Amino acid sequence: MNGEHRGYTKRLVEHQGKLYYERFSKAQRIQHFLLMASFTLLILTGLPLLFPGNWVVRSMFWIEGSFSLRGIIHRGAAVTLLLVSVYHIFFCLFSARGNRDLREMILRKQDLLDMYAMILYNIGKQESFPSFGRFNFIEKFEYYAVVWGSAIMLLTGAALWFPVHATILFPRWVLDIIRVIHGFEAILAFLAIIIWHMYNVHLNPEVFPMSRVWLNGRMELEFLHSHHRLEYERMLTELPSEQARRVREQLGEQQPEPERAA
Amino acid sequence: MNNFKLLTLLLFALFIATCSTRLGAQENELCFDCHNDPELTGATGDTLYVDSKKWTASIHNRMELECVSCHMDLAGFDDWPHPEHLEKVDCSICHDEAYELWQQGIHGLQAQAKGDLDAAGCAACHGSHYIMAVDEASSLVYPTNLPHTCLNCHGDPGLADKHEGMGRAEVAGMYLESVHGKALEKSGLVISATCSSCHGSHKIPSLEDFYPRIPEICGSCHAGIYEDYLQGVHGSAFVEGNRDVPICTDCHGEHNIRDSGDPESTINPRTVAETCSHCHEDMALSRKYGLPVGRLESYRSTYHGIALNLGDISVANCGSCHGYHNVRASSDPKSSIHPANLASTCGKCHPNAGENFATGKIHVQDSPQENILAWLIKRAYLIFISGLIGGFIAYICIDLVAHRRRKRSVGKERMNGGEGPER
Repeated sequence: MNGEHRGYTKRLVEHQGKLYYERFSKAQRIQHFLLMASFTLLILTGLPLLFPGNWVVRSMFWIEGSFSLRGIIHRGAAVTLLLVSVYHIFFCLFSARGNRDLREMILRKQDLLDMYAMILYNIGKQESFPSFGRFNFIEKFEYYAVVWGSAIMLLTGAALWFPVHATILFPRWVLDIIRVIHGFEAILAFLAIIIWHMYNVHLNPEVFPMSRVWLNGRMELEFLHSHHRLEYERMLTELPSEQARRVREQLGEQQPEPERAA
Repeated sequence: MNNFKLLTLLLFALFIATCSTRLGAQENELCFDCHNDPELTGATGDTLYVDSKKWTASIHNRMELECVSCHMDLAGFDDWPHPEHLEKVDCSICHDEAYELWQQGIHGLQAQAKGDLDAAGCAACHGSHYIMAVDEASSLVYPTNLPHTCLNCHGDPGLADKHEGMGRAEVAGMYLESVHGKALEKSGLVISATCSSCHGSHKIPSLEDFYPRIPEICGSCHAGIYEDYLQGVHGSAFVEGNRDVPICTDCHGEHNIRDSGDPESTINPRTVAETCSHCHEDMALSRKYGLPVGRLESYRSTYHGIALNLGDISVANCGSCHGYHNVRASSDPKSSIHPANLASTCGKCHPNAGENFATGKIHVQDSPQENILAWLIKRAYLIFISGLIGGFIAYICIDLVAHRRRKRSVGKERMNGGEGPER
């Protein structure tokens, strides 16, 4: 039943007298932080190997022993990423929050239509901003890119870390292929983050200079209303009436109750 | 009576003996009367000074030689002072063996055939009045002093420019910075190779005669390595008369031989790949002997090559897999890179490396023939990444333009009809 109101009562948080929509719980913010930290370290210590002749890269390793340190940091960050990934799997399967978010993450036909609508809106063929659910097509795409990328990088990375064990399973020339995949997947991930993710959470004029969701987890109700309309409406129907009333009040919307009464 | 006669005879003999030694000493003293004066100069201004103390310490004095033993034209002379010009001292009268050897060597040939007065004669290396025995530390040709003695001429740029075949002045000087030179100079390791250890002493050969003997000469100290070298593909070919293969000096350098741990060494882990590439990246040699090409480039693109390039010297370099002195062809069952031995060769660094570990090409080049799947995946990624990033950028551009347009139209609405709805 609706005992917890599908988690929406927990998603409505009050901060300094104002109501917010809690986008990321603390557990999610910690996961995001660890993902971000490990990803950054992995890129910094891994990408140079793809451009060993570059002078920037060469000057990175001018100190004796810094290359070995690079390896240690890279592997340490990889283990962190692995732990976060494993934790995330358990989080998605066994926590109420994770489980609900995972269900919302499932790709639907509507996501394709949303993308189409967004492009129409952007080129001026459609008046209104498309109505998105909890996660729009961009966010879903990014999530699956991270899941896919992490899985590939962790698997190929493990094979490269333990080549002797890996070659029990397959001949060494497969490792050459794995190295190609590890390298290009890294470039792909790096460019996707630096261009796509950084645009969506920093440079996009809607959130510029930065969406603070990753820090405090809170999303302005106005932003939820304008950018995730379906989620907003769903929240209102799921929330107890008193809380729903406060949400409408904060946004200056008409309260539906008097109408119904009349 | 008999006793008296015997005594007289003995006394006479003693007198003669004393007189004769006294006579020699007397004669040297006679010379030093004038020549022990530091200010004594000849007509040309050259010093004629001979330090009697240093002469006394010299091996020739200790062997009881006298001034006139060498300056023979003054033997029996008694009308002092003697004329300024004396005959050139001829060492060969006593040192005939050394002289003959010298005559056959590069110095002797130069001096004789070309009348080259710059070519080193006896005194250039051994000194003149104050010669010490060769095993005495103060001898000019004692191991620790010899390099400096040779460098008197061979480190002189003026002389080196003048005489073809002397080599550049810096080259000989590099010796002092080499592993041999340092051992000699810093540690006083007198068995370390010095000039004469390789080049010989009296009979110094010309380069043409010297070159074919280099491995053997190095092997006279580095005997085990010489054996290894002879077993390898380079050494065995050299012995058969091949002059394209590297000998010791081609990889290690000549005068500038350095320890492999020295970053400036040609066989340091960082530099060895380049050293091997002098031949193995040489198109003419590769074609002549059917050697595979692109070895350096393919090595550099492996993890080993990249890590080495960025300063991790613990990774495998050419020698780690191919061996150093005893390099063999991969077809040789004794070769470290023979398919049957590859697993154990890899296993030196990768313990427990199995058969699979070494299967497939090692020097992989980026071409479809080498590893078709890797090549295809690389191309697929390039296309996919450029497509995806292109899509991202296109989307972002549309988004930004749209945002700008909306902002402007909102502004216009406010300006034009802002009051409209209110009315």
